Amino acid sequence: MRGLPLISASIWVPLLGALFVSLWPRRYAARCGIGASIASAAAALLLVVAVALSGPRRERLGGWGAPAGIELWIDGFSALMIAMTAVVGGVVSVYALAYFRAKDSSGDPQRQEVEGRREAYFWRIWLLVWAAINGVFASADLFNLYVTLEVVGLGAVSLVALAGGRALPAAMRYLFVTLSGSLLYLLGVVLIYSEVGTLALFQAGESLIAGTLAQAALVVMVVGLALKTALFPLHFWLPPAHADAPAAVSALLSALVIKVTFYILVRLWVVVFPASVSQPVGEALMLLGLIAVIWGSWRALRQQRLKMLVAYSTVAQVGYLFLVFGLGPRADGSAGWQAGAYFAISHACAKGAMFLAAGAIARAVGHDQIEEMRGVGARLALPFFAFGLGGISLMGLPPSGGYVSKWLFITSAAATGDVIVVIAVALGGLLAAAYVFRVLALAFERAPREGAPSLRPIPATLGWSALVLGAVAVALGLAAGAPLALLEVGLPFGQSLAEGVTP
Amino acid sequence: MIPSQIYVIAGAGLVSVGVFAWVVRRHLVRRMMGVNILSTGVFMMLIGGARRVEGGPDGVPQAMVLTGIVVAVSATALGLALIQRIYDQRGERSVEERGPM
Amino acid sequence: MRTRHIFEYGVALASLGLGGLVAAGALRRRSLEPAAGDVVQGLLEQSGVSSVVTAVLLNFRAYDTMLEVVVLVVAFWGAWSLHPTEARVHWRPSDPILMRTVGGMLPVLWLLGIYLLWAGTSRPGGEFASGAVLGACGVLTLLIGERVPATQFRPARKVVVVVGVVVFMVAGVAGALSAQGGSEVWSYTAGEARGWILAIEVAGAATIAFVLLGLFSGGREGLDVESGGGEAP
Repeated sequence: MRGLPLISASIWVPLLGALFVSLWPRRYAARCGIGASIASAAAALLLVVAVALSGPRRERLGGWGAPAGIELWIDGFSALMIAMTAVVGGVVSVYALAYFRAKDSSGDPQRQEVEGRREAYFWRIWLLVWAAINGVFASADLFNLYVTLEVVGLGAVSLVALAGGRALPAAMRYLFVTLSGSLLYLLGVVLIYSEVGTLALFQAGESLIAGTLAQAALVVMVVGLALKTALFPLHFWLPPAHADAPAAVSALLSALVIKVTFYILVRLWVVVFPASVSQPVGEALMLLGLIAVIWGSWRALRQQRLKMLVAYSTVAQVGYLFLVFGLGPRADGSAGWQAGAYFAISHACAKGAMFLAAGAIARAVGHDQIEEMRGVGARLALPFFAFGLGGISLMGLPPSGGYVSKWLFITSAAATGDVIVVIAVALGGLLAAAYVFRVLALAFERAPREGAPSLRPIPATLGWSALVLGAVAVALGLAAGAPLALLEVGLPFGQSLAEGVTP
Repeated sequence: MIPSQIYVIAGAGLVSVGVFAWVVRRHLVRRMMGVNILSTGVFMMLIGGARRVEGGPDGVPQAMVLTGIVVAVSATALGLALIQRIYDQRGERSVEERGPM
Repeated sequence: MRTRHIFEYGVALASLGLGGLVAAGALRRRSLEPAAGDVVQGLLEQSGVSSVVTAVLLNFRAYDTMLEVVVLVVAFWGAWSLHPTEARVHWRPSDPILMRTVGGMLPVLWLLGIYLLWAGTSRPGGEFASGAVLGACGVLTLLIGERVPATQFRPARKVVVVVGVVVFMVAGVAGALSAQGGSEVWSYTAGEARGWILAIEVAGAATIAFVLLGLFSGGREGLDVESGGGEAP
């Protein structure tokens, strides 16, 4: 197992799957697509198991090694992210199987044509995006990160546009954001290369000196990546793009795609930039993160549409992620960074479950206006239960992944004396409870005697797959040991990273 | 001032112009052009900032620019296809974006 | 209107500040030796080609170049997934000057495209230059109202979109199997590399040319004459 190119395999299997799906006639797209998804998840989990058992892995593509060639590098942090992608991606694929299938019952040939096209393109583009997401998590090369990031971005825009209608302007705005964000990141890479003469992540980190150039590079990279991660006040594009996309796509975007840029930022912080340069910027990001938690939750509370509510909740949850840039460097050991990484995976499962559930509910009710869902809860118990499970994790109630990560946040903030972080984390949890219970309370009210909304039948798969993700989000609180142990492999946030572990 | 510095400064200027156009303009084609100007600025800085190695200019930034240009072309094509689709859907002559930003 | 102006001035100041910061950073750089370019120069003989840029694109950083073709493919699929509407623009060329000049130039352009492909191993050129010229040939063919050969066959379209990536992957696996010691993808000897790079370039140029053409047509006119909204590749 030692010599096998397992990292490349985790990228190539979904890539090959996308190409394979595209070669078959449209009616086979779903069958080929789900097969390719299973294979991709298997390849990713094989890699994760190998890392957990035998330590970090590296591949020198072409046998060259840095700085001439590109290297792939997997430690505990990237392995955890790849595992998150495999779990969420696998479940969403099953959901998509039913979601895109179930629609063409109207018998209208033109409509069937549009739906068939949508299904066919979903699978091939999603598999490409999956390959590129794994590519980002595996990459140890600054320019390679840019290219993979562009595949993720353009693929995500195309997936949003699949919904048509009002999703098109949202997709357009998303395209502008994702392009400029990656270009600003590339600008930072350009500056770094002109000084250190290498694109390899770890070598660049060893050579980069604190100075004007490092500051300029950090600022443009942070602006670009924060824009793509939708940090307040650069979040304006996220709610329409995530809310108007097809539900399966919304789940993928909120759960996985925004974590990709977060991951790159963490790597830049830990590996590349000298602490004296990144410290003040990290404090500013933490402050913006705190504002995002409150602002996003407040806006979520006031939304009329269910998917908009979930999307604004993502704006709030992104705020928590950015707390690590203040806490991570200051906290003892790697507690702050671990909190962020654990938050990322538990949010991926929780938010994935909530978007999948919201999609199932909207499919049954025929729209997603919250006010008009009065009393439908009993008849849609499965998706609402999944929504609630995801909500438990967002509120940070035990036992859930959200609880574990918030507990890690609060302990490391208390250790560094950041009382305001403790308050904001608690307040964010309360607001999350408010917007989740607002939906649940309305849904489980006694149905009005007359004018009760009639429901369309939906495939059971929709509810069950949402429930599975919600259950995983809760299970992350019950069995936190294994993921946290994986996170220690190769000490991704430890001192030894810059010096010794890169063999 | 050595010639490569002129490229670096001009590149930074294009970055400013591109960012400005992208944020301020409302017409979608103009905003797309803004993003393209931004990318041109980045590529110019990349070439201007390349140092000389023995046997000629550094080959790595040249390859990076080539890759970057292909990415920019692809993204622009996707953007224009989307703009055209929005235009078809609205049935309007001009493609202004509404709402904030 | 007032707030609009203030907003614009603010953005102008901010973008100037960003540009100034970046320029200041770039002008203050300290060159550390050696750069990746030096290392690449030193290894050039083992790469199988004599052009530095081609060596970087197709051997040292072959993975980036494969992903770059993937970017083209994803943009292509994205553009073609936006189902064209009923109201299609019909282009009917009537300008005799256009017809004559383009008609005369096309064979030369085809030759130029193929020459660039062949030249790429030793001097400027290669799959992207070649693919761009060949794609432009296709666009000009559409503009004078002709069909591009073979593009109306759906299986041919499907294959040509993916072939540029598939050959890359085949070369990678072949490199992994032939490598001594490790099993890194694309690690072949200088002798083998030459053949693989040529194969990658031919397939890549075909994909790039077709994808550029397909992005120009946006899934409508010319490439998809009969069905318009039919099944895309």
